[in-house]
Amino acid sequence: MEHYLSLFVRSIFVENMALSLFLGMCTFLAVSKKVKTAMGLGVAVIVVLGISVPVNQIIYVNILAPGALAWAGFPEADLSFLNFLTFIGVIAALVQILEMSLDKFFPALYNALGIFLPLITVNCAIFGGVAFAVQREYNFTESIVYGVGSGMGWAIAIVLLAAVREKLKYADMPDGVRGLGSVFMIAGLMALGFQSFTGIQL
Amino acid sequence: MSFLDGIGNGLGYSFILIVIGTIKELFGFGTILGFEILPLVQNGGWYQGNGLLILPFSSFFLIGGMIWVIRTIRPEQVEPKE
Repeated sequence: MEHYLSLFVRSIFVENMALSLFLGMCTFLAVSKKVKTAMGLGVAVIVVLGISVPVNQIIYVNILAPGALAWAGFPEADLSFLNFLTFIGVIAALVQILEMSLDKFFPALYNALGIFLPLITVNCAIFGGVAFAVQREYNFTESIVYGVGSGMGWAIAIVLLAAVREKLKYADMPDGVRGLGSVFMIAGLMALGFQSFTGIQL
Repeated sequence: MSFLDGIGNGLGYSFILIVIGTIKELFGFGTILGFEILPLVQNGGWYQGNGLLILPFSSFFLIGGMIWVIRTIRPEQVEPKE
């Protein structure tokens, strides 16, 4: 239990997807104008990461890993060259299914998320989470914890950035920095803050 | 046209990448492509390397500054006040 808790905290703070590993930067900078939309996107990323990391872990361990097809009678088969193709396909399919089921059962949430839902397909934070989980050879439970944890880390980062940006609307900045330039500098300062977590061993 | 668009985007991206990389390497380590330009204090030279530019997130500040410079030169890119 303690092992999973420390993995959870580590994936949120020490290895924060957005501010320590710089994954998912494009949506992180583009969709952080308002806290509300940022929170919606953050929840969507938590859901997609929390599902896609364990699903891809199951697929890798049971089908793609070297020697994993022994149960089907091919003990020397090695399909690991199909890794990236499979992961991307699974992520895209999952986002599509999630989008359709949200549209069907939770139309209010679907309308609130809007364009950000399909955008998650190409968010490199998702693929990064999947690739890390496979590379570090997490087991099924660990991959669930890691997926949800890294999703929460990304969500926390984008909500914090959106909160800072909402306050900065009232700042009187030089014309050239207003908008994108200030966002880059804020993100840099936040990454500087999150840098203080590095080196913590859990 | 789509070919030119793709090539142009790629060249613009790599240009920014090269500029950022050059600034960070020159002022962080005092070298360019591994050749010593500014001799570091540790190696008996005079240049004190900038510790911030060695860390990955310093690129954020450099890109922010570049956006500032570009938008000062070309004011039509300035974002409107909300």
